Amino acid sequence: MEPMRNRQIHNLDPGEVLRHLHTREAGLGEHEVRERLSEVGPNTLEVKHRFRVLKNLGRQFTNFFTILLDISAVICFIADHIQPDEGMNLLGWALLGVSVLNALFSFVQEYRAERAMEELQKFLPQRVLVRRDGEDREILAQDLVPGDVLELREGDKVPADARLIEAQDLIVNNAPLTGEAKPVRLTEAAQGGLLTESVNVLFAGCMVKKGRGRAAVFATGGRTEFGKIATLSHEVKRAPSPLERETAHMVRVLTVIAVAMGATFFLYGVFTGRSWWVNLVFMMGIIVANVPEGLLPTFTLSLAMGSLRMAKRNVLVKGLNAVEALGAVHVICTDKTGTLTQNRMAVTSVRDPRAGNEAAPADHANVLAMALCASDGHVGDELGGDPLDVAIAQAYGEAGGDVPGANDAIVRRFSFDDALRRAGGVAHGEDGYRYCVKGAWESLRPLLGKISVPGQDGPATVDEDGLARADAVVHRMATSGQRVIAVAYRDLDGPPAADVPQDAFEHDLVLAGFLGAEDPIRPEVPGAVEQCHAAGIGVVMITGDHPDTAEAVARRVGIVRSDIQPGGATLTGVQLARISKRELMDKLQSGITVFARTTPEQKWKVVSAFKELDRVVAVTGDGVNDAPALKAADVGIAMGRSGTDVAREAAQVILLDDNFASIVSGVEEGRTIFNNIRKFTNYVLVSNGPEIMPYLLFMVFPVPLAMTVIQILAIDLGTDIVPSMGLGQEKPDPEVMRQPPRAHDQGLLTFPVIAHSYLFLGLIEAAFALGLFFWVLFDGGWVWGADLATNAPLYLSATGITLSSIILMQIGNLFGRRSRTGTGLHPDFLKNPLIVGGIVFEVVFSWAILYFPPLSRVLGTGPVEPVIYAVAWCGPFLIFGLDFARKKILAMLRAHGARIPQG
Amino acid sequence: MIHLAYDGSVNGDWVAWYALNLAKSDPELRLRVVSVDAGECSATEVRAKAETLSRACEDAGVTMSLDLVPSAGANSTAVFRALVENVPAGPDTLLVCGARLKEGDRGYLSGTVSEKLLKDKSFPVMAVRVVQPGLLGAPHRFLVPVAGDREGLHMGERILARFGAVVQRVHLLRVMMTRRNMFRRLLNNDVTRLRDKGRELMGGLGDELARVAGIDPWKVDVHVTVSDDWAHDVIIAANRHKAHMILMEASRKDLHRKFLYGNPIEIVLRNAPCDVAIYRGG
Repeated sequence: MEPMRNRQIHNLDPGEVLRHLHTREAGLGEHEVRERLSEVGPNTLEVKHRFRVLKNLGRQFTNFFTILLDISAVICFIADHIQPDEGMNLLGWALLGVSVLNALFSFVQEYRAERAMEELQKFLPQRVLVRRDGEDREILAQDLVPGDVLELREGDKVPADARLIEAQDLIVNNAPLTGEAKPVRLTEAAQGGLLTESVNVLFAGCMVKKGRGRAAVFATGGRTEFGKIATLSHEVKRAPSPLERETAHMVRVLTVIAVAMGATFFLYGVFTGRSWWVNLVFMMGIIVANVPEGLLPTFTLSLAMGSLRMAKRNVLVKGLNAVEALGAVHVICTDKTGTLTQNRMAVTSVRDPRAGNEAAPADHANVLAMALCASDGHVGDELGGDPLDVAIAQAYGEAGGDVPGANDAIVRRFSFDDALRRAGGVAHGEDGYRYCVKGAWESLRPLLGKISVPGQDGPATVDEDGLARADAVVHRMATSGQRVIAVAYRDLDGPPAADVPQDAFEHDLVLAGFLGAEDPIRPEVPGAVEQCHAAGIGVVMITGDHPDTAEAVARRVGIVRSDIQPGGATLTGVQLARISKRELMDKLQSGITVFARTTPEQKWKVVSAFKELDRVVAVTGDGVNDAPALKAADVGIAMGRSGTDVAREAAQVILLDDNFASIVSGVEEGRTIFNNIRKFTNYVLVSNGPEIMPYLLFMVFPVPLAMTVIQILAIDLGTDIVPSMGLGQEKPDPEVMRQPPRAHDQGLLTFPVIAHSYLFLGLIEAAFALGLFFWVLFDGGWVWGADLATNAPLYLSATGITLSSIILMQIGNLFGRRSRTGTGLHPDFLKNPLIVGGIVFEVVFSWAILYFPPLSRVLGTGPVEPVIYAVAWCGPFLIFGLDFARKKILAMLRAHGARIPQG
Repeated sequence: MIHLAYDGSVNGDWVAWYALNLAKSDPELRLRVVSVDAGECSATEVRAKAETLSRACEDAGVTMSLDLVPSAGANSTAVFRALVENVPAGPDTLLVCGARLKEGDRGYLSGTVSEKLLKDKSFPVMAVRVVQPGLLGAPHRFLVPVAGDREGLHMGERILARFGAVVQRVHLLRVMMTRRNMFRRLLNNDVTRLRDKGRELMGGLGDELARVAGIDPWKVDVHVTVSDDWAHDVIIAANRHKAHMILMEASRKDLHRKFLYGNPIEIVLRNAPCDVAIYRGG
């Protein structure tokens, strides 16, 4: 018992409870209820946030991403106003549609978080029976206050945390809080230890399985233990994913570049005497040229398609950003049961009791037959009953035994007794009647008279040496993670009388052997763990199981290296509770990878220590109490088969097959998606160079404008889209899982990417396209400085070839982007229909804008001499060749030790 | 010596457990209950209720005395004056009072007697809002948000020392604040930089608190978060760490500013999942 001064409600004797809560047997009076209600509020999990939904919606419509799309749409509408009948308004509406869809999509994703709360509410009752003013009354559960006296019966859900003052055969299921499905017997007697582990307390959200009880409420609503889980599942704001941050950063940088450049040239135009209206139009042109309008919708599409691919690999992603977030993880904190193992019991070994060798086939079946005799499994169309008994029956069947026959031979059964820790049975066989018993070694050890010796006709009399050898066998089996079941027997002289008690049989037993039972590991897991390690991802097991079992499984799947001493990589829940977070961080860095006998709260402690170490953490969970850790992790992964609805709602990712190997597939897909996003971002930005350059030339020199706004949008929202999506669907690189996770600062829009896109490839495209533009102009008789009408055939042809050549050069750019170091010409591009379709579209479009009048009219282009179009076809080869030369030079420089950022 | 400002309400009964437990760890082992007659609860009722407390004090070896003090009026200023006049000034006194929402009031501290007591510098004050009466004033797990300077934390350390041996865990929390619009734009590197700055500010604070409060150093955990909402992070941390009590400083700046509905301290008092104790820092 705790010392007097420490006493909390669970430490009190039942008679003291009511007085300490300032209540009485007859319950509270109405005045007291009102007073307490005003002090602590109603017993509900809902925290009302005024305008929460509206605020969330407003936030989605005011993020940079959406604003940029809206600005692009407005630019299109203005362009349509200036140049009507060019379909700009249609593009404007399309952009606006994407913006609204994007915002609504994000809003719906966030709104779904509310559903976790709805699922939690289902654990609480609507109405409860309380005693007030000396009468039993049924009231709304939300009207409960501390001090109320509750009556609970079988099947009731517990509405609030309450201290038992009377319990009759009361058994509850505390699984929502503890994750432990095993029912708990409660008592009204005073308890020591922690309140949260006390067996005289009823916890909100749990259910009465059996019996009845009377209890005094001491915590309601969000102050209950269940309420705390609810708050953490609902109120925790998930930090933006790395991709969300990077996208926002990229959009900001691009917007700043676009607006700064537009404003600079607007001012330049004003000072050089151009009219305000012309300057405004050209400023918008520069902004349109700088903003990759199609990039953001491609992002969304790429992630959506990625999520579909993940679903095919049993990884269901609830939020698009989680698609990539999985690829960024540095550590996976995984459960054991069901995720690494198959969540079923199987007999994996039958050992002789002297040397501990695997039993000979005849002895193997014999020991299993005896174990089956001491089992309580049902035999019908399917085996049923205790998982261990089912496993024994299956093993016996697999060993060639006749399971129904063996069952029929049982004449007496003694069910498993918790106190004795063994079960028994009497079977009638060819040699007469035999009593068989199976159970914990410690419980059978004192009852033995003999021990079977392999290869000898009869068993040997038990002695210290024999027992020591058997102890050693048990120890070896236990440390390898097996559950050890000793099997013993005694031949009877005749049929047992019906009323002979079990203990009458239990003397001079013969130890037949040991069964090793375990939850087998999933065969694909060791390979998946190895893949993780190769990919620089740490795997940590967090389980409620015994440390020996946990470590044995961790060793077999490769989480713990074979060269680490036993216990060297394991920390128990008790040890975890006695160290600070700083010490835990040190331990994580020193190689602790197994956490055994832990509570769900401790799972969060491990996750938060990893986060403090700047690691991106994925966490698996299935129970209601796992919801806070799932919400706190960078990527929360719930189990699709065995998980609760609450866990599934709190997580971002659901494993449809509960299999660890599927997480690794998800990581591979996530990494591929990030690489692909980088590829198409780089691809799309390249065309910005030749789009901007005509405006700069037009502002500075007396030359015609080489590209109109509609032509820019034809690239950004037309020809670039399908190839970008194609790059977004590229297959995983074989190297992707041999690289370490990307660094936090490895962003999408880095200086090397900007330099490569704008200053290298962009300039090549611009120089080549503008070269053709001036070729057509001079060839058509234009002289430097002369005005040219925007509807003049010469002008239409010149802008046409500019647009056409940029589109063709994007094909060369496309191949260059497929590989960071190689040519990108591997024929597997033919298996990517979007790339093939994108190239075909670009080729056809580059021709059609010149020679297909309906399209020429819309885009303001005209035909050129075929020879000039033929020269334009050199563009893709030029850009591809120069880019490949750049890759080779960089590779050479790196080989010579130069430190050049990857970009 | 521990003094309890007792108003006869159920909240007063719950707060009394704190006063009793603090008195048990006080060398004088005495608890003086001061009840100002402001007309809310009759003297007979107060005496009857105090009798229950007196029995609990007897069981715990604490000597309890009850003083019924007249008040010049029913308003908070009159009650405050009566208390200040009847509780001895000085650093050795600790006055425990409640923080409760009265009908028509907007906040748990705003305009209350407790707010006036906290502002007044006559003696140290601990204003407690109890929402977990089952703890019986014996919290074991504490969350201590650190918002002000080190000096401000000293009083908190001394209060923790009074809970002494029962303390199982103390979570020191520093919330590094950013503006709301900035928070959404922070890059990973910005978050890391802010967290490092927070860790720097908290350097050695955990060990110092453990030393002053007489707690094993491993029982003190230091946490730094980056947020745009201080009160929200404190409440989440209290849930996360299953804190029994949030022990929170009202800085001198806070106390000279009007406590309004949106004041972070008021938000914590209103939404905390556990009991909250407010003391005056510095």
